[in-house]
Amino acid sequence: MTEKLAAWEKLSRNDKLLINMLHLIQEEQGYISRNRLAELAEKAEVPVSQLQGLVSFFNSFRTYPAGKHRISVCYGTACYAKGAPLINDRLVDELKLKDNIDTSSDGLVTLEHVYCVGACSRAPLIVVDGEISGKIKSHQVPLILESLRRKE
Amino acid sequence: MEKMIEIIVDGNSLAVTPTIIVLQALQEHDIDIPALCYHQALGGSGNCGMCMVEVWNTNSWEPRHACLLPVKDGLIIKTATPRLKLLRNWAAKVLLRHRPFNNIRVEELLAKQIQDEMQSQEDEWLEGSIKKLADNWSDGCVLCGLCIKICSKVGKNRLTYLRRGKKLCISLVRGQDDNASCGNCRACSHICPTGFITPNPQQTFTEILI
Amino acid sequence: MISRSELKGPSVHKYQVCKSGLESKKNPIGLATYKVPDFPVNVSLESLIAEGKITLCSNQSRINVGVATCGRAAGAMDIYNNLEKRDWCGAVRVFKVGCIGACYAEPLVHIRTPEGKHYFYGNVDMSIFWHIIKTAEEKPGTKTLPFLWAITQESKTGILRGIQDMELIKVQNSGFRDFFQPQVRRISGRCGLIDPENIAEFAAMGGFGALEKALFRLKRKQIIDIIRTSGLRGRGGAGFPTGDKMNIAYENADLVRYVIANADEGDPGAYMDRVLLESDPFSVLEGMMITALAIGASQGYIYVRHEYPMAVHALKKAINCAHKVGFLGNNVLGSSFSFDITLVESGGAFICGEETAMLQIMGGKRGEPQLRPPYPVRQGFQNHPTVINNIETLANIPWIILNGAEAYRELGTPKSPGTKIFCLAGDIKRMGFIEVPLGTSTKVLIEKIGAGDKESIKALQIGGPSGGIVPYKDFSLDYETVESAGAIIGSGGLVTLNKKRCMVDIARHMVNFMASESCGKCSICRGGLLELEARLLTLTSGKGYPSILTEIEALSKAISSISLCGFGKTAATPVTTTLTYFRDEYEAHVNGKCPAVFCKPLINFEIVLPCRECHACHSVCPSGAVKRRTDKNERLVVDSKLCIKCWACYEACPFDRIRIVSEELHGKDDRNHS
Repeated sequence: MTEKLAAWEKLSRNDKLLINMLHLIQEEQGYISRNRLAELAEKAEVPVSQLQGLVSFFNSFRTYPAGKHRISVCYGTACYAKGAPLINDRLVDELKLKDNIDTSSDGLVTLEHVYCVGACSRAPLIVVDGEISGKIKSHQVPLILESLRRKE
Repeated sequence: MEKMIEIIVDGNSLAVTPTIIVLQALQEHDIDIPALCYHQALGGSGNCGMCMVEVWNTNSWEPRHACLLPVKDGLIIKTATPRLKLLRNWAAKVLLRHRPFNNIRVEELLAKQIQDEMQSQEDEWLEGSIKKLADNWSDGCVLCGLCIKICSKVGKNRLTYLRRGKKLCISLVRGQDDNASCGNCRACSHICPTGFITPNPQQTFTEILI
Repeated sequence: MISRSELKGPSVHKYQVCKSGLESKKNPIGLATYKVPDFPVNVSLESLIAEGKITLCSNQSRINVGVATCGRAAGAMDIYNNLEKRDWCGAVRVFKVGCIGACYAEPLVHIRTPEGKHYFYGNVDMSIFWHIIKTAEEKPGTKTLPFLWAITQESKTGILRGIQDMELIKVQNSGFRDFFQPQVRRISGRCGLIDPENIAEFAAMGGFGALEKALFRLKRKQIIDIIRTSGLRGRGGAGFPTGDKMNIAYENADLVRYVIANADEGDPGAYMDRVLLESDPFSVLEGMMITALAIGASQGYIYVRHEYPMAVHALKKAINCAHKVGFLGNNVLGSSFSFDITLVESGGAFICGEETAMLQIMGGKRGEPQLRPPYPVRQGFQNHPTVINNIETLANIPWIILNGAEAYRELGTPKSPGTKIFCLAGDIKRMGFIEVPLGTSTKVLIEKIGAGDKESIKALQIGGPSGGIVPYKDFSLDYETVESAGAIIGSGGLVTLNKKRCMVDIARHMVNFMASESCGKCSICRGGLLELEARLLTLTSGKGYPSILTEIEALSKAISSISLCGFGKTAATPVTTTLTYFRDEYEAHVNGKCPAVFCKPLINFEIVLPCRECHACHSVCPSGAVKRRTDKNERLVVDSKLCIKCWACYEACPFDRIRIVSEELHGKDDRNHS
C-alpha cells in the first residue's frame, strides 16, 4: 500500500485526486480503515474530517469489513418495477438481516443495493461477487444462497 | 461614504449599501424575515429555506433566498405573499420535525410560520415513519451546518457532515493520540441556532470518529 | 513522423498468434488481437487503418460475441469461452465485442464471412452452437440456416464503417428487422461490430478521421463554428448548445482550460453512456480530443461511474492504447497539439452527475452542488474554464466534424437537430439501446422498435428519476414537446410501465431514491423529500387521510421552489406528474385500494377455480400460507393472515390461477392506526 501511496504522491497536482486513491485503498482491504484514512490525510495534507466526509458521501465505500460474498440487488427503475423489492425482501428474510445491518451473522453474505447497473433489458438483476445475472425471481434466492454456502 | 443604491421592498423604496445581500438590507431596515442558518461572519448558505422573498424578474415573481441574493439597484422584492407564506410554512414544518429544541425562541419563531396544524393522530403516524425512514434521526439539530463552517474557520476543522440525503448527520472527527481534543473553543456551541450543541461539544455529537 | 515499419518494431499484426495444428491443442491460448507495443511510437493513421482492416474485414471468418454488461448478464461469457476454446485450425477467429443495442437478443453472436456477409444469431444458447460453427466454417452457398435471425451484406465488400454500411438481405426474425429499421446509427454505428480494445479496428471503421481533419485542416475557431451551426445540444439533460459552451471557454482570458467527460450516468434506466464506453470508447476519446483542441485544453478528465466496472476497464485500456501509438500525449499525430486524459472513478452518488457537485468531488470535497453562476465553463476545475460534456455529446462531435453541420441538421427537428440515443426498458418485448432522429414519435419507439403492447401500456417514465411519468400516448420526442408534457428528455431513458404497475408506489420509489441521493445540504430537499416519502408511504400502506393529496401537492411545490440546485428543483417531478395524470389512482389509495394490485398492505391473494392442484404454489410458499382447506369443499387456499405477499405463488403458478385483489375500505373505522 505504501508503494501505491508513494506512486500516487508523485503524480502531478492535477492528477492527484483523492477519490482515485480511496478506490485503491478500498481494493486492498475491501474497506477503508481509519488508519489508512489518517495516513492518506497526512500525505494529502487535508483534515481527516474532510476525508471522512468524502468517504461517507459515497455508497460504494465501506468503512467496516464486508462479508465473504457480496450480493447487490439492482434498484433501478426497471428492476424495481419488475420485482427487485421482492428479491430484496426474500434475501433479507433468508439471511435474517436486521435494520441497518447488511451482513449476515455468519459473515457469509453482505447485501447491498445498487442504483442501475445499466442492463435493464435483463431486469431484475442481481450482482453476486461481481458476476451479474439477470431475470431473477424471488424463489430462486434460496438456491443462490445455497450455492454460495456450498462454495465454502 | 459609499454611494447608496435603491431597492424596493413591498412597495417602499429603501436606500442600502451596494455590497450587502438582501437579507442584511432587510435586517438593517427592521423588516422581519425569519432566518435560521444565516450568520453575518459566515455568509448565507440557503440551508434552512426560511428567508424566501419574491423577486421581480422581467415578467414574473420568482422565489429566491434573501441570504444568497446580492442587492442591485432597482431590485423589486416582496416579503409577504400567500406563496411565500406557503413556502415558509413547509420549510418550518420540515425544520420543526427535529423538535424539541433547547432554544425555545427558535421553536416559537418556526411555529409562528405554520399555517395549518395537522390532526395529531395523522401527524404522529407521519412522524413515526419519517424517523424510521431516516436512519439516524437527531432530535434538536436541524443539520444547518453552521457549526461545521465555524469550526473550519476558527476551530481545528474537526466537524464534518457524514453520509448524505436521509442519512446525513454531523460528526466530530477526533484527531489521533495527543492531538485528540477538539480544542474546546466552543465556537460551535455559540453559533448553534437551536442550542443543540452544549458547551462541551465533545459530548454532544452522537457519532464520534476517532 | 516516423511510421512503425521504419522503426523496425514488430508490426502489429505479427503479434497476432495464429493457432493451428498440435501446438494449439496442447495449449489453447487466446488470439492476441492487438498488442500494444510497450514503447511509444507514432503511428500514422493510414498504417493504423491498414492494420485494422486485417482483423475487421479479413479473409477469415470472424465471430463477434457481445460481452458488454447486458451480454454478460445473459451469460455471453460462457458462449465466448466455448467458441474461443474450439480449435478452428486458423480458419475462424473469435472476438469479444460490445453491445450492438439489441439487448433483448443477448447473448448475440454475429459472424462475418470473408465475402462480406454478416450472420446474426440472437438469444444464443448451447443448442445452436453447431449452427454458428457451421456458418463460420462452411463455404459460401452451403450455409445451414435454422435459428438464424438475419443476414446482412456490406454494400461494398471490405468497407465497413458502421452498421449503416450494411444492407439487409434476408430476415428470419422479423422483430430483429423492426428493431433496427427505424433507427439511424450515426454515432453508435460501430458499437457491437468492433473489438472495443482495438484502436486499429476503430481507425479502420473511420475513427480518428475527424481528429485528423480538425488537427490539420481546420482552425480552432472553425471547429467551434461547425459545432455551433450544427445546433448540437448537450445530451446530458439540460440541452445547452454545445458549440456555445465551447465558445465561452475559447473566448475566456484564462489560458488554462480543461475538458471533462461526464460519464456519471446515474439515471436508472438510462445506459447509453455505458454502451458507448464499453463498445466504442475511442469515439468518446476522439470527441474529447477535438473539444480540447478547439478550446485549447491540454488536460482532460473522464468522470466515470463506479457501478460500470466494464466501462472503467474499457476506458483504461483505450487511454493506455491511445498513448502507446501517439494519439494521446505530446504532439498528437505529429502536430503541435498535446493532450492527456485522466480517469476519475466516482464512488456511487447520483448527485455527482451534477457538474458543480462533480467538481467538488474532484477537488476532494463532499459532492454538494454549488451555486451557479459562476458556471464551470467560466470557473470550473481549479477555477479554470472547464467544458463539461456528456459522453453522448462527445461521441456526436467527430461525426459533425467529418460530415459538416448541414448534414447533421438533416435529421431531427430545427430546434433539436441530430439523432439521440434512447434506452428502452420496462414492460416491452424488445429492450435495448437505440439511436433515432430527435422528434421521432413515441409510437415508433415503443410499438415498432420495442414491440410494446399498446393496450397494456399505462405510462412512460422519461428522463430518469428527475424526469416525469406521463401517460402513454403518441407524441414527438424532442426537447420542447417532452418538456410541455411535464417531463424532460434528460439523458434519454425510457421506462415503459404497464397497467400492473402502481403509480403511487413508483412515485414513492422515486422519491425514496431522490431522498437518499440528495446531498442533504438544503433542509427542504433532505427533510422535504422525507416528508413526501412518508406521505406516499402512508398512501401505499392504506393509511391515507382526506387532506393528504393537497399536502403532497403543496409540499412538492415548496421543494422545487426552495431548493437551490437542479436536483432539488426537479426532485418532486415524478410526484407532480403522476398526481396530474393519474390522480384517480392516488384517490383510490386514499380509500385503501390499489387499482394496480401492487401495494402489499392493500392486496390479498386468492386461488381461483378451476385449480389443477399441481401444488406449485404450495411448494414455493415460504410462510405456509397456501394450505388445504378441509372444512367445506376441499381445495387449496391462501390464508391471508399468514401470507407475506411475496408473489412466489403468483410467479410459480403454471396455469395463472392466482388472482390478486384489492378492495376499497369503507369508513375510517376499518383502518388500524398505529
